[in-house]
Amino acid sequence: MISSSLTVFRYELRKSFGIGTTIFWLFVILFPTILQLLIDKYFVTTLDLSATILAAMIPGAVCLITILVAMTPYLSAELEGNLWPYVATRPYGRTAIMFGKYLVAVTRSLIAGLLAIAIIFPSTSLNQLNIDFPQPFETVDTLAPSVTAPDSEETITENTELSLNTKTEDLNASQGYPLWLALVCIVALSSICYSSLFCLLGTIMYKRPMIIAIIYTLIVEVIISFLPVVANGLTLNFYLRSIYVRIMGLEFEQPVLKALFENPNFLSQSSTSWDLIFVGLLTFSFLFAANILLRNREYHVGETL
Amino acid sequence: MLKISNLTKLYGIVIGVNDMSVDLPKGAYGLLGPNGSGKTTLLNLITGQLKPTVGQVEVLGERPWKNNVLMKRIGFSSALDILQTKTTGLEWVTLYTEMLGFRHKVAVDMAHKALDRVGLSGTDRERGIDQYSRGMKQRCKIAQAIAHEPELLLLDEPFAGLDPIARFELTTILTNWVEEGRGLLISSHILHELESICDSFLLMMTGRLLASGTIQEIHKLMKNVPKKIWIRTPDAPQIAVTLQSLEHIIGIDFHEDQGGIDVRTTAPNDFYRALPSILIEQKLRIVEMESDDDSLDSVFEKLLNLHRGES
Repeated sequence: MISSSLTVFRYELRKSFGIGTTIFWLFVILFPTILQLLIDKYFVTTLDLSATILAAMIPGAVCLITILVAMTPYLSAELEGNLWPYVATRPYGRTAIMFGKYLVAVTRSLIAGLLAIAIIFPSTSLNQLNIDFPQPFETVDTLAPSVTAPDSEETITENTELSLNTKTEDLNASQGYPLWLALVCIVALSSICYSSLFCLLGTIMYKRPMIIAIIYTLIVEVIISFLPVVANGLTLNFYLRSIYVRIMGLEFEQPVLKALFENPNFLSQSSTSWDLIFVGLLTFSFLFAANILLRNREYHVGETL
Repeated sequence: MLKISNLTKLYGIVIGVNDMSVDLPKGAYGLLGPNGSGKTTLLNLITGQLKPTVGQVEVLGERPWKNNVLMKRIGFSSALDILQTKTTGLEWVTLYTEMLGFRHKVAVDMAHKALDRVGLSGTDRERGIDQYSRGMKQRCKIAQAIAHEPELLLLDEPFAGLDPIARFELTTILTNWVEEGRGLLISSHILHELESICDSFLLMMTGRLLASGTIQEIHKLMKNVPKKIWIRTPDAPQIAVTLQSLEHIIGIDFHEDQGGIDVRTTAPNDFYRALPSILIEQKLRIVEMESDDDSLDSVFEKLLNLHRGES
């Protein structure tokens, strides 16, 4: 099963670099940098604001769009391309096609997210960040209360103006992982867990899966996850943003962000380790459910009765 | 090779396969039936893509549903055209061979051999499948089915869309396959396509197994099936009265427009021999005469009527 999954992974990864797909992909990767350059031109950015915008743009847009395109139609593509009979008549073929394409989605999302980070930091005002050596997890966890304890000590370095209209403040005021490293972590986690979520959605709703996935993402992962209610604990976004905020030891000064993030229902009250365990469990559950469904369902491809 | 017991497959309230039982020893079998007769459903049940609603299927002694071991012993080619793939034929065949558990290099060699066998040339196999003709796609599909040298090959409508040369070449490939002593079950709705390949035939319609037997038995069956002959004539009443006295005539109907008659006979050859002398003796005229074609569709229709107890 593992070798078959890896075979599908190699094949699908090679196939996924078509001209059209690559151009679209590059546009998605460059989008956060373009947006950040515009922000630099017209607005004053702070660490909390930049961190929030980057989280929304890179794991929230670049990775999500990449996964949406790469993962969600994995089953419908086989069915619509009339390829399903060949998959279904291979040992562990159903599972292999799912895991193989899951690995492709994770890889593509990781590459996209990392490239977006690699491009955005040197080419925008974010290059003013003091890139510290990452601190160990334990240290970061102990800093978690600082989110709600704004009196903790901060290290503010000298600010530099990038252009006439751009002013960057407090970009290196993080007390945990630096922004770029926190983003790398969240990109990795988002790639792994959102791919599993879209895998499950694509398995359940294999007819028009993209529409279903977009509607689901907007309702659950955007609207519900941002409501400061207990129900947002069922969304991946809730755990990912909690991990993100904690590992950076991020403090919010913007009034709106401060009000939002200080709400006890907006961030997980568990430790980062527990949040990671929850994310892992959700990922495993999504993949497990998708696999069970895929193995037990009958698909009528081009059946004439 | 294949044992089917009381097999029924329902799609909601629609019956795909209806209470079918058959036991086939190793050999080459043609699965014949008009479009929509349940051939594809049966092949999908045999290949483990579908689960029986009632009854069971045993292929090479094993039940196919979720059977990973059996999948290495069978090869399957679907009737559906391969769509939406820019992959080359070689990559495509290699992928599915590798998915059977072979290492990449071994799978590439096996894919080359299979493509050689189906006659897809070296330059063609490096081209994208989306540029292939229907015949080339069929070859490619068959190559992925035979690359691992399975014990049983199952082909769903492999002749569909092929030109006469490609048909001849495919017939040769399959004849060689059978001569090597391997199992084959091949579906089609055209009898003569399978005559030179298969020893025995299964006749299906509306999900039922209507008949089975050798080619001689099938031809005999076709011969004994009543045949309808349409005659356009200005002397319809007189001809009807005269033909009524013939033994093998089992029914005569007048056309609504009074322009002719439909004659049903159990011995069409006797009828054709007798008709000219009757016309000359009675000085009757006919303008046009047409009979059911000899295609399997009409035979199936008639077999189904017999199956239902109708004349």
